[in-house]
Order: sequence, then structure tokens, then C-alpha cells
Amino acid sequence: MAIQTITPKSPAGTSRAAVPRRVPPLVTFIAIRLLRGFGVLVVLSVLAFAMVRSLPGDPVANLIGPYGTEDQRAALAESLGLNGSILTQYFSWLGRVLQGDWGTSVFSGLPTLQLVADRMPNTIELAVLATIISIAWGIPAGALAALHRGRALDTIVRGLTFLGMAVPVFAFGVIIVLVFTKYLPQWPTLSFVPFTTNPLQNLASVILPAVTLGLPLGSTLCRFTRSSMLEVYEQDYIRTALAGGATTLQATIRHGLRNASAPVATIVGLQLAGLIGGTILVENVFAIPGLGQLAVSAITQRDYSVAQATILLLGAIYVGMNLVIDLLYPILDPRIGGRR
Amino acid sequence: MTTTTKTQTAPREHAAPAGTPSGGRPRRAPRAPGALRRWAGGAPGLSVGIGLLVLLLAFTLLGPLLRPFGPYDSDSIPLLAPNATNWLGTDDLGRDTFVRLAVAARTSLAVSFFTALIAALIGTAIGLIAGLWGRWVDATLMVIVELVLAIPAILLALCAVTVFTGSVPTVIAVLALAAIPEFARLVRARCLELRELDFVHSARVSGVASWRIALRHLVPNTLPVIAVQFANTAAISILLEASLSYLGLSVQPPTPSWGLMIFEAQNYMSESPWLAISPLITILALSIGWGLIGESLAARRRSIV
Repeated sequence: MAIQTITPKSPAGTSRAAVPRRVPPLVTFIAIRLLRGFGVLVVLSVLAFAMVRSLPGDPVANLIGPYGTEDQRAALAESLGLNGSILTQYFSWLGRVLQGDWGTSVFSGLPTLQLVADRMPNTIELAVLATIISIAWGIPAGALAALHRGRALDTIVRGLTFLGMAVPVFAFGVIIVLVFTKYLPQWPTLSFVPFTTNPLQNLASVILPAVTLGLPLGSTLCRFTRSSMLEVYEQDYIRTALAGGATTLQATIRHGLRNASAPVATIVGLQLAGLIGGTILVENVFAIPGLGQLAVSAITQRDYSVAQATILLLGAIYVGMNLVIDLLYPILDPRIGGRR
Repeated sequence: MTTTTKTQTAPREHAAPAGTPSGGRPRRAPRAPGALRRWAGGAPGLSVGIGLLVLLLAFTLLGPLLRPFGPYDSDSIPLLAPNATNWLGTDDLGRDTFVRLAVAARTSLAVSFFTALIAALIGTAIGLIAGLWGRWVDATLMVIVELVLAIPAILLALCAVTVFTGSVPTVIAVLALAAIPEFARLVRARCLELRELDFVHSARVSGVASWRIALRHLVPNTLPVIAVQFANTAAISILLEASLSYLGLSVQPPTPSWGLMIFEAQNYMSESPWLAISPLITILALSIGWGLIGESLAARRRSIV
């Protein structure tokens, strides 16, 4: 009865129930996520395109130099797709990008596609490994802190995670490099080994950067897991489980973690943006030949086709990893999609 | 002083379950000194955060006056260890680290404050418009906001510095752009809550104009949310700015900047680690300062609501 006296103010609840369901909510959920990922890529492509177009000066004149003939200019303008309106320019550029024609690196003379293709696996490896590390320590630590709420362990975890959120990733990396080069000189700290050359050595050279990236990322995750778990502990089903004779640990593992996981997955998704930024930094600290390192050197060297490609691909990695997490949602929480 | 005691005693979590949290606390009390325990307890409060910011502000304003060195003058022996003349030693070009650190603090303080300020103003405006207008305005604005929110800030920054080259205004503009969506979302959500409350209804029924409702009734009620987000944005901006300048994409040398100082110190890490450690400590101090302010404001908000 009490509920009914409140509800008339907001008619949303009643009208919603009356609408017949046509599309399964899960399909809408995934469709929205796909659409968003697509939108991000479109915006990034416009930015990457506009980035080069809005540079001061005429790109044709810049590339061809003062001694080019009129025919050469026309040919170059044609090959750069600089003819026609800005919209046709964009679409012809996009068409070439989608066909894999990414231009040539002005700096190294190599095809951009080859440059980025060599580096992409390293970046993906680092990003995935760092995500796994952040989840592997962040979620258990958060759950433990929630379990020990107010006690020493909780205090330590919260202090460390606060520090983890405040310390810049690159500085953390610099410290790790310093410590390892000084006390463990035989460790391949600054010498990246490609996976194809030696998988074991590769893992050894990637694990430190991944830890550098994963530990601070896990801090945020840990804090959210903790507060999410604390919320779960107040739910009726936990009380019921405890009343039924389950220990706190059993209740946490059987009911708590599963229910706390959906909000935590949201945080993992949101953190991917930070992860992309982090890979750029960590690659530069640890001298890993990845997209992030390439992006920064391309920008400082004004190597625009490479800069465009790296920004697009870093965006693509971000969207791709986000999609994987979105697809995990329905598994973690079968109710997902019902509300949105 | 009242604020201090309030934050320290305020419960950290919303709706604390009765009886559970305080179980272990009193027993530990005699072992650790009070101030230390409060600090470690994660509730050091607003005052420590504000204190750190004030300290850094004093450092940046007074620091260069204390020492007879300029931030660009190579007038000492390179790579000196900290001593009586060069309090924090000198860098590879013989410049005084203490003075450079103090001057660099201006960049970081300015970036953190103005990024948060610009993002708060624009984000709040967008959130208010979306929350009050509703319908298609809301829908359009939120789609844009979601989209910007989904683009990693660092990629936006990379695009921007490619075109405009790294400088403080560019960095502030980009970081603010990246921070606007979160403000807009929070303010909008709060507006939707407030819109249904009686005082807004009665204002509307009495014929008060929408903008007046927004400014007189909604904004004051959203301020706590905005304040928390302001501090968090400032804390994140410090780290992003330091990261960008470490990559050489923000302030250009020889202008001193903390991230750049760490980058330059990297080559001399084993001989003179203090070169990297002093900017690291100031970065930490600033981001922890803002972080503490954000945390304690959020805790206070939760305890009031």
C-alpha cells in the first residue's frame, strides 16, 4: 500500500510494463554496445583524418618540395586523395584505409601497414596481460578487504590502492626499471624479445611492463570490488545463506562474488581507456616496440600517416576489448538487458 | 576545525551495517598513535588534502625566491647530490632542481585546477540542459556525451598535440574535453532526481522560469556532486599531464615540468636517483592532495544523504 502512494508521481514504471516486448533485451543490449563501438571508431577516424587536414600549410607543397612540376603536384594530390570536397576526401581516405592502403611512413620509408602490423601483437599482448593481472589481484583483494572490513587487512588494502591510484604509471615503471636493472641485471628488463623468437623470453620481458600497468589498474578495480561486495553483504540472500548455516566465506564465494561481478565488469570496461593510455606510457618506459611507442615517435617526428594509423588501431584495440567485456556481461549477470 | 572532526568521524560507507565495523577498532587504539591511525584508516580528511595543495602553492610561489637560481640557468656543477646550496641537487645541465621543481609546480597546479574548472562549468551546463529540457535535447546530448566518454582521453590528446603541438592551453583544453562527459552525466542524473521533488514542482507551478529553477534550485543541490567530481578530475588531470609531458607531448623543454623532469632523469637513474624521486614526490603530493579532498567530500556526502 505504501508503495502505491508513492508511485503515481512517476508514471514511467506503469507505462513500461504495458509495452509488449518485441526484441529480446539481450539483443538490444549487444546491439547498443556494437553501435557505440562503431561510433567511437567513426569519431576516431574523423579525428585522425581531420588531424592531418588541419595542419598548417599545403600537404602537397610540403611533400613535393619547391621543385615539383605542376603534373607531379596534380598526381600527388590525386594519390593523397586531396581532390574534391572535404566529404569526398574523407570517404576516399576511409575507403583506402579499409582496403589496407595506409600510405608510407615519411620517416622510415616503409609501408605504414607493415610498421603497425609488426607492432600490434606486442601491444595487444601487453594490454591483455595487464588486464589479466589487474583482475587477478584486484578482485580477490577487494573481496578480502570487504570480508575484513574495518580491520587491519582492509586498512592496508585501502591505503595501498589509494597510493596505486595516485602514482603515475610511467613513474612506477621507471622505478621498476631502476630496481631491476640494478639488482637483477640478467633479467631482460629493457630488451624486448618477440614472441615468435622465444616465447619464454618474451614472457619474461613482457611480465614487468604488464605488472607496471596491471598493479595500478587493479587498484581502482579493488576499490570497486570492495564497495560492490559491501553492498552485496547487505542483501537478503546473503542473510538467508548465513541463516542457513553457510560460513561468511561460503556465502561470499557462492552468492557474493557472482552478484558483485556485474558492476565490477563495468569498471573493467571503463578502465580500458586508461589501459590504452597506460600501454602507450609503459611501452615508452620499457622500450617495447608497440603501437604506443610508434604513435609517440610518429607524432614527434611529424610522420602523419603512421600517427593516423596508430591512433585508429589503438582505438580499435580499445573497442575490441570493450566488446569482449560486454559479451561477458550476460554470462556474469543473466538479468542484464532487462533494465536498459 | 569543525569540518575536520566531521569528516574523520563520518562513516565511510553508505548505510553501514549496524555493529559490524567498529568491532576491531577500540582494541587497536592503544597501539598506534591517534593521528597515524586516522591517516592509515583511510579517513585523513579534507584538511590534509587542502593542506597539501596549500603547501604546493606556497612552494611554487615562494620556492624560486628562496634560492638565488633561475629555472633556466646552468650555473652549478651538473648532477650534484642534494647539498646546502642546491637543496635538491642539480640536473644534467647544472640547473637547480629545487627551483625547477617549484616553477614546474605552476604548470601542474594550473592544469589540474583549470581543467577541472572548465570541465565543471561546461559539463554542468550540459547536464542541466539535458536534465531540464528532457526529450530529444536530452537524448542528443547524451548520445554525444556517451561517445566522448568512450574515447580514451590519451587518444584525444595525441590527436590534439599533433595539430596544435604541446602546450599548457592545448593540454588543458583536451583534458577538459575528456572530463566534460562525466560532469554532464552526474549533473543530469542529479537533475532527474531533483526534478521530481516537491520544491521544484512548486517552483514550476508558481511560474518560475526554467533557467531560474536551474540556477536557484538545481545548481545549489548539485554542488556536492560537482565538488567531488571536481577534485577527482583535478587528481586525474595531474597524472595525465605528467604522462603527456613525460612523453614529450605537453610542455616543451626547457620549460620545467614534472613529467619531463622524470623523463630527463631516467638516463641518470643509477647515479642520481634523487633527480627522478623529487618530481615523483611532488606529483604524488598533488594527486594525493586532490584525491583526499575528493574522497572525504564523497564520504561526507554519503553520510549526509
